[in-house]
Amino acid sequence: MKSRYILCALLTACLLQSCEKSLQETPKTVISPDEFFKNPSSYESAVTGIYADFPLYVVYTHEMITDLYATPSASAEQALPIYNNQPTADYYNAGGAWNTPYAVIKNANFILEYLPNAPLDDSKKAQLIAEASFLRGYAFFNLVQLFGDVPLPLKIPQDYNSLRLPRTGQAQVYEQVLKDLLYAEQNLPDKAAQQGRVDKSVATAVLARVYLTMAGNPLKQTQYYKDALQKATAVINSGKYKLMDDYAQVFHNTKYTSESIWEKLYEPGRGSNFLNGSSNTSPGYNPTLVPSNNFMASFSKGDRRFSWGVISNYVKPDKKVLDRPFFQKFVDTTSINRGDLPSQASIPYSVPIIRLAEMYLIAAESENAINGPANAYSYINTIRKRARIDKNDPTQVPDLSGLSKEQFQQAVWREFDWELHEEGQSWTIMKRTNTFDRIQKQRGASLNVPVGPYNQTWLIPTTEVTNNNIPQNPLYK
Amino acid sequence: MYRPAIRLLLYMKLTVMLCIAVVLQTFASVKAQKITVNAQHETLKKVMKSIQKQQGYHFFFRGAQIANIPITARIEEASLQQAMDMIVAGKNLQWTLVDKMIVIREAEKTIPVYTYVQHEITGVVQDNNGKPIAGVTVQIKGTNNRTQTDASGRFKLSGAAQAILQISSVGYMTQELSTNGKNTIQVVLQNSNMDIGEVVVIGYGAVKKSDLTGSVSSIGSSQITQVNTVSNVAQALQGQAAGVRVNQASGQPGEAMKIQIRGVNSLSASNDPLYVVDGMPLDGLSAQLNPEDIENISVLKDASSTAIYGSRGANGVIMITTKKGKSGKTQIGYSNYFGVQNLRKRIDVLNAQDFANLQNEVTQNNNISKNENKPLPWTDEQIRNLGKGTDWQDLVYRSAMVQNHDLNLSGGNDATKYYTSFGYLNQDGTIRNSGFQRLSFRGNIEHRLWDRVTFSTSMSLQNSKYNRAQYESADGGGGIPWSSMVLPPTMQVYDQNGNYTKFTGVSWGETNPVGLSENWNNTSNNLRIIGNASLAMDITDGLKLKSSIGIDQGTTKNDLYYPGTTSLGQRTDANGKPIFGVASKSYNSSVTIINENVLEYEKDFGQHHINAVAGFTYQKSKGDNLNSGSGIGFVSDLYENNAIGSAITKGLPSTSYGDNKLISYLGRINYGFADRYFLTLTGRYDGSSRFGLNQKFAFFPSAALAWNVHKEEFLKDQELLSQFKIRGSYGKSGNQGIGNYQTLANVSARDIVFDSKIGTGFFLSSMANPNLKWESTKQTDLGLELGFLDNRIQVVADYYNKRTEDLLLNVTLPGSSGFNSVLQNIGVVQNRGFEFQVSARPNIGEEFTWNTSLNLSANRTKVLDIGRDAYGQPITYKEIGAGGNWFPTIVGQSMMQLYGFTVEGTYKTDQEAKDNGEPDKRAGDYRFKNWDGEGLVSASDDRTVISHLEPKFTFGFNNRFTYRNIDFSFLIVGSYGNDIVNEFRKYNISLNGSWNPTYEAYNNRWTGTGEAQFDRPSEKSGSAIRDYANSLWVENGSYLRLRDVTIGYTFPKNLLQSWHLSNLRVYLSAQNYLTITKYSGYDPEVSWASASVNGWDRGNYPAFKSITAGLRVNF
Repeated sequence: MKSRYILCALLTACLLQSCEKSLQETPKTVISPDEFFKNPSSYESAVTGIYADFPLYVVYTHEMITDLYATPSASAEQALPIYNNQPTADYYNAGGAWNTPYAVIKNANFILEYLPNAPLDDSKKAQLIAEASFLRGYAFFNLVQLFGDVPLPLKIPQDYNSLRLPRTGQAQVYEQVLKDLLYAEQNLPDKAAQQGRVDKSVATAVLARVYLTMAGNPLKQTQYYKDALQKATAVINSGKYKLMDDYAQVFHNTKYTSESIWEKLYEPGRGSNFLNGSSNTSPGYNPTLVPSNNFMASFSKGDRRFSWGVISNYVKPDKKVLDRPFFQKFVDTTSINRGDLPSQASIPYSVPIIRLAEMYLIAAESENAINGPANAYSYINTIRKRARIDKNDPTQVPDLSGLSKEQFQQAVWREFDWELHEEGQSWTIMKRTNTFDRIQKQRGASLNVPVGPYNQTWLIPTTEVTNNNIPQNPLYK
Repeated sequence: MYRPAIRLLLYMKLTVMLCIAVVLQTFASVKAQKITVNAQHETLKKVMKSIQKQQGYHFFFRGAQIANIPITARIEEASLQQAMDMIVAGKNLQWTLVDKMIVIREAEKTIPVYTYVQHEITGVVQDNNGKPIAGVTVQIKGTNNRTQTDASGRFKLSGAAQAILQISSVGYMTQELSTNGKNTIQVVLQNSNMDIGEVVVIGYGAVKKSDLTGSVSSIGSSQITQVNTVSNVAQALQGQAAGVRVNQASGQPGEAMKIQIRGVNSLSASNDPLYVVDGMPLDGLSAQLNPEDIENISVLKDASSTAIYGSRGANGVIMITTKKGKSGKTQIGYSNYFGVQNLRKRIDVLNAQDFANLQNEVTQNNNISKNENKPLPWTDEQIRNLGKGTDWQDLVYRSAMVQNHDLNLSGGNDATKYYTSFGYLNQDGTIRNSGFQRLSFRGNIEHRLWDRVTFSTSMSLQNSKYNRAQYESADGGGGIPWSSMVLPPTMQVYDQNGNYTKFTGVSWGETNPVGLSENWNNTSNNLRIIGNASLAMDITDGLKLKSSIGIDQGTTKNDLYYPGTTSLGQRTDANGKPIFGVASKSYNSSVTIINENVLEYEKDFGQHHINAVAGFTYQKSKGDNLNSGSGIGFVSDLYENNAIGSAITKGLPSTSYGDNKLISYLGRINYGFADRYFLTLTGRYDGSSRFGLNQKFAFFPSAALAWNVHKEEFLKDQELLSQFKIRGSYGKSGNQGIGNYQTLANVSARDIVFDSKIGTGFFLSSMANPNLKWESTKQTDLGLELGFLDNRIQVVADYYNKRTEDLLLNVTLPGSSGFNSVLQNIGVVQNRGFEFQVSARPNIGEEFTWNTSLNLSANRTKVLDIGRDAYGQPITYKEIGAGGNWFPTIVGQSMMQLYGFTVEGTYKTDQEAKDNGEPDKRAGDYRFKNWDGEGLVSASDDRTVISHLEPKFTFGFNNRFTYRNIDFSFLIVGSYGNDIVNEFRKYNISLNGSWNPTYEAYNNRWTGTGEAQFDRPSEKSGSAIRDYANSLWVENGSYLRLRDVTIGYTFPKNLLQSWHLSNLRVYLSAQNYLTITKYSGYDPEVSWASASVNGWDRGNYPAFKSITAGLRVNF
């Protein structure tokens, strides 16, 4: 009898000892970093994993609140208050514009921490470090433009208790952007292994945009115009890219064109760009990027960017006319003809992140800023010429000439809108050129809050302010 | 460095060895099945112990003094009947045998009865379902003349022609009947939860109700099967137990219910109770158990009773005991019902003529405000010709049939008992093409191997098919209740080409509900096998070992096909060409293996009674899933999802896997003194794989006290109070309801597109979180149980106070970290409440019985803490879960309340809108309250808590009457003081001409002057109240519902005998036929299935009412 109890006791004791360990989890669908990096090819797939969050483009933030667009559909949640200049820090656009770039930065910091000790050859290692650095720099650039001073995490947090960081001055953030992008430019391969990934010239092109931005509002570090010019012309003269003959050919593609520098691609049949839903004005849609009358009226005669780019009074096969005009850049009219509704429409057109035409405009703007218009005309007129419906009719989108430096600057800013609207830069262009008053002029009466100094930055999401103990940007009121 | 599996094996081996050793020893001491007693002035207790040893019968004494009565007897090789009769002879005692328990009590005081002639009385005893009851004691009142019913419920007695029969059995109310000279008597015993002698199933054991220290509600089989058209267990509990709130959130047959025991504890982790079937804990149970198989359900509510389930007890435990066979003749029972179910309520929306008038009015108003001159869409003549138009609700909903059959066989002998059953339920849904079918099988076998060793197995298998209608969403996406409400009556079902029309009134809302209800296929086929084998051994006097191994294995196949005829099945291929049909298929399998080993020791030392339990359990679960991904584009809809390989756009298959383990040590001591004072100490030490490296194990203790005051001397001599018990408990239980692998640093895969092709990249999805631990709930419970007039009236009242700490809460992280949130142990939620149950069985007359029971539960949930922000300030507002910024959690409130604008009618003038801070708005638009009275009305400072979703109280009121052969019962359930957030009102009160509104909105619209309840018809109508939470969505959700009313007839015995039946009852019943509520939506019990917010109507399957008729027959 006693032996039984002893057996019981022994049994319990031996079980107690081993339990603790048997409760350790060994998941099979997710994997620990240590396990993951045992495979040398993992380093590259952790770099490519960063791309999933691109393009860092929030329609309400980057485009809608400019003077290019008319009132968004009342059924689009939160669109109207933002359009009427009354955003709050709780709106989705604040969260999206803030959190996504930081997710990119976290993912880049993660792989950057492991790469230096990777079992890869040095050039491969340098290339991957350059690629991750580029994506991180691009994300910081995005943040600093939208929000001004922002936290500057350069390492993944040690644990969940040590991830609060104060805001860093924007000049210092730009320094980090330059550091990341210049390293990337040095070390990235000349040609990306796959379309959609970045290479050396992507870095050069983005640097041109960064320098131009730094030279403009609010930093006004005008010394960078020459760097902007140098980078833009380097891309133009690299021979790698060529403007498409017809503006319409730049879009409605599922692969890079000769003009593409870096684009977000979709797999046809599986992926759809997000701009179709924002632009389509056929029944069943809640469009938020609809051309304003003012913008439509601003195009020159014979401008392909208008004649092809903006469609008014579209007649469907059933003879019904669409109520509102729409931008065609990312919309497939055959889908409208079929009556495809948002759940059915699959529009795999790529979304350009940076393309050659912008380099001409950057070159034009910086050349003019440094030396005046004389040598800048050729850059801008290249773009205008391409925009002509009839290339042989010089009255269409006529060449610019005889402008003062000031007039040229205004002209090139306008050209940015005509050329690059809907490509995720309209708000940042307004900020660089400090022309928010355009909104006030055009629709001051309908604004809930008049345009003011607070328009220089977007509101930081409340969750960040309260959980990170950082001050909010000026409120819109 | 053992691998876990090897360790388990080793452990099992040792257990088996241990068992064999015990068995061998037991075998050696097997005695004959006859009883031998040789007692010389031994106490009765000691004598009974010796009988228990010999025959295995448990016993208990009614009245503490009985145990010490001296017995002198010499009995050899006697049967139990003989032995017991000899033991109690001349002692003024009477005994009864119920199940396996010998109950000994004082004999009733003798009433002199004149005995003229010995008269033979035969009869049959049945329960109110017409099933014979075996083992019922039938006694001629005032004599020792008694017998027990046999397996078919029959008895035979000799006595005076004018005798009074007392018929009693544990679990039933004792009845007295006058024979009135009749020779045959039919007795229907009423189920009772009131008998003090009743045994209540608790975790790892059972305890006499009178000895119970915790708060446990016990529900018998007749209540469980009271309401027809119920497919799952939780639903059967509605209105039947205090503290248990059940919402029939959806009318989809087979759908899980919302069930909460004593409020909601957890913000992010699960709030579902733990289900334990025949001792086996299960991870979730909805419609996978045939309610007909259930003998009894115990709901464990307080910490004293739930702590034995430690980390899984915090949300309450539902203990289900299935039916077992009884020794005797084979019993065959069959029952069925057939019925028809209909939409409980239609939403009153405009007909085509009124809708056309509305569209004209919208155009007129648009023209005025936009200074345009668009022509009216309808001429008067067109309107006249429109008629009523398309009645979408009529086209989508139907009268749905339901039928249920249950056949069971049970029986056995002293050594082997069995219960087997087969059940079939086929319940069509009121939405076309939806329904639920279930085939269920059960076999429970118990075999006494030797005197001291019993082996039992129970096996249940259910196969179900669940056709799900597309019902979710209050925004479109094809949700049938939504679209059948808002689609214009002027729209046709088919276009000129015979294709389904598409609705373009709203993004993503395009799908034609008729097309979807006719052609959509979303079917789940589930096979769930729950099996358990256990060995119980009496090791020595009072010491028992029970060891069991159980398996719970489920496989579900999901088929999904969107046909090309509906717009949800119309897509484009890689070249932008339209293709038709979207198909996918998935398989999920899950298996849990449980091993439990429990030692139980029970002994009396004089007045002291001790029952101790100690155990070790090990549980391992794993699940995996294979999903085909969506194949798009098929040459024919005939394929459905059976030829996904032939899709034009191929699906991307995916798989998943997860596992977890739970290791537990448990113990409990019940100590009783003189049947008056009781103490229970419980503890469970649980280890779960899901928690952080540093926090795998936790201890959940509890203590409880009970005092049977009525057994004290000072209450002895009164008759009024038959029971007076005070009890109290305090303890801790936990919650581990989170996913696997949440505490590890993980790298996860994600899709990326390069070269226009999908590829795979990886990213750091989470960091290590080694300190994550259990959510724990501390609960105090104070209970009072009163019984009056021989327990004809019983009252149970409980007050509880629960405090849930270390909530498993997703803490929002600064976005700048790159992470959104992490699960941490932060926050405190309090639930306080009061439960009250009164039951009575008034003594009305011999032929008329009435049982009534009312229960009432009031719970108050209050969030006390949700952490601190980076400034060190308490966070008072937090968006958690699916409710987002509409239903944030706010400190001081109950969980997740609607937070938004308050609508104060409409503006009379444009100026009034400007003055109130809404410059966008015009006369006739909704006026939002400007709380601070300054500046603009804005989301940042003019939103408040605008709902109260938690009821002030819920209740159930159950009544059962019998008169001769007729029985009648009704069950009323209800809820008072709760709101419902009716998201349908985003659309059905908008007067914009795109969606069909209700007559309520149309008849009370703004018509040009003054104020109105609803805004001005125009294209902008409703836009202000659609995307921003506001008080127009909030409605009174109180209701009172006649859940069930049944009238039944039991055929008289003499008639049945000629049909060779032992019992036959037929009945007619109605479910949900009367509901009193102000709620304007389909049903006040509604709640969005996938949200943690109970009372958010965002498009659920509308409730149904039904009429059913059925019969129960015993052969």
